[in-house]
Amino acid sequence: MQATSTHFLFRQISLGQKEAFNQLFYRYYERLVGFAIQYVKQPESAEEVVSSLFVNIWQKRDQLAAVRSPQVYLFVATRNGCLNYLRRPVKSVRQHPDQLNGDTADTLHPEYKELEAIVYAAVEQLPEQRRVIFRLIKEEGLKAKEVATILSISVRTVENQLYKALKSLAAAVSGYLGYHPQEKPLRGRDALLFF
Amino acid sequence: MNREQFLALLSKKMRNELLPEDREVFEECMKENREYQQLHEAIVAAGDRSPAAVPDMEGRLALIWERIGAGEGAVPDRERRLWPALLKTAAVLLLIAGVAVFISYNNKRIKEERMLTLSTTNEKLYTTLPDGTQVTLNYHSTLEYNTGFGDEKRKIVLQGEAFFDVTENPTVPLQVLAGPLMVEVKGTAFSVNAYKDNPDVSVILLRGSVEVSRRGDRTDKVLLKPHQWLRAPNSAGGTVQFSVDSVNGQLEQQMHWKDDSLVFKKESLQHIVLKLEKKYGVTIEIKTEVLKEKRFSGMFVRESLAEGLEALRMAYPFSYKIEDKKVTIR
Repeated sequence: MQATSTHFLFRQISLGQKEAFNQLFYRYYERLVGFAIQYVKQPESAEEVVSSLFVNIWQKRDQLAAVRSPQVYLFVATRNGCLNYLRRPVKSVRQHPDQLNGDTADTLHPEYKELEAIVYAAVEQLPEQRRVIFRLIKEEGLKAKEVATILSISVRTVENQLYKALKSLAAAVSGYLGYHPQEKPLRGRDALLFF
Repeated sequence: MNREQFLALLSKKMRNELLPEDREVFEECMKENREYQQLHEAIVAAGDRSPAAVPDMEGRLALIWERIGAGEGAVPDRERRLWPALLKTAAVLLLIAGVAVFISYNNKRIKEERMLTLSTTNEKLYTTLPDGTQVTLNYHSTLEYNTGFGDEKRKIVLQGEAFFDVTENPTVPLQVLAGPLMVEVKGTAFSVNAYKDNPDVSVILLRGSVEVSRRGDRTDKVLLKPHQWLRAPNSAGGTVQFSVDSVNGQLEQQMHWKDDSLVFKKESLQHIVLKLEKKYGVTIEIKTEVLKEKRFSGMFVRESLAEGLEALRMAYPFSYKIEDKKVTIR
């Protein structure tokens, strides 16, 4: 149903409905900023990229009617905006260290239960593409094909990366819970597993 | 089941690709293995991190409107390239959706359907639908088309007469329901005449190919070739007898209504010029790129070419030169 409503919002926006534009903003801004932060690191830069995208959407609204998958479009556009932003000529500004590791877990989510915190930290530790893929699937509920389009990779890669992400997360969780490979109840199979 | 197999299934589950057989195995497996259960809970069932908390959303929104108001300039070339790439990738996605759409067409969607309406009384209307299809609507006609026209569905309901120049889109067929008929096209130019009071309904094909069948009963179908003219009695119920003729010399006469007086709403100059070329029998060239996409609304009745151009100029200044049968606009 979500996809249909976004379709409808796009239609309304292309007809000049400002209220629909505002609804689109409230529905997607934070999510897209969260997505963008994974690329540009700085929250202000992420907001800059996403805000520019919204300005652009309004200005080119008469072309919105031709967009076939609005949700995918929003993520693709955000990612492209981020890549463009990262490619811009940088003067003598030092690259700021990644602000999101560890620190943010506390500031944004003080109430996180321990196990969830372990998972969250493990997700943060994933290599960039794997992390992005994992989040798009789990948090945004996008399908493998959509994720493949957004990131310009094959569906196979998406599946493989997701699997590897799960392996890492599983390792972190099991480690925390105190399971060891030898203690696992094997069901009649001799399996040697490496993490 | 070993851990890798479990993770593979978990991966499928997250992608919503778990088959029913797998699902049973998966649930069984979790019941018997506490660790897997915990893994599942921790990874999948656990809450997502909350989205990047942005304080003052209203303020952000206001800023965006300010930037829009300030007319944030011409889009730099880098961003312009976004569109073709997006449309290409969007086309790939549509190929997958195309099949599902076909099966669920008609009847199932009716409750959710919202249609937009175009209608004419004493004038004719020339306009472009969201997918690029150009429509000329004759006097006293009504045309309805679905919202999201061109996304997953292209459905038109016609009462009266219209000429269609259809944007090619093999994955989203266009359907016109008129009287007792259903006309299905891929990309083509044709006209449909279905006035309520007429005894017959006609479909005339100019180029391309269309398939005509009885509305609500797709078993009896006729595939029209260019310059063929199909007629059927304008009544529901009973068997619809199709009669198909060729129209050669008569074609121009039959269709000429679409080229003389007309009303256009927010049409680009580029498209209007095509109509003018036909109406006045001239060739028109627009020299300034920017002008091509400028939109005009208006009506031509019996003006001469010069009068028509003058009328357009009053809405947006441009200069033109008429030399015999050639017009240059800049």
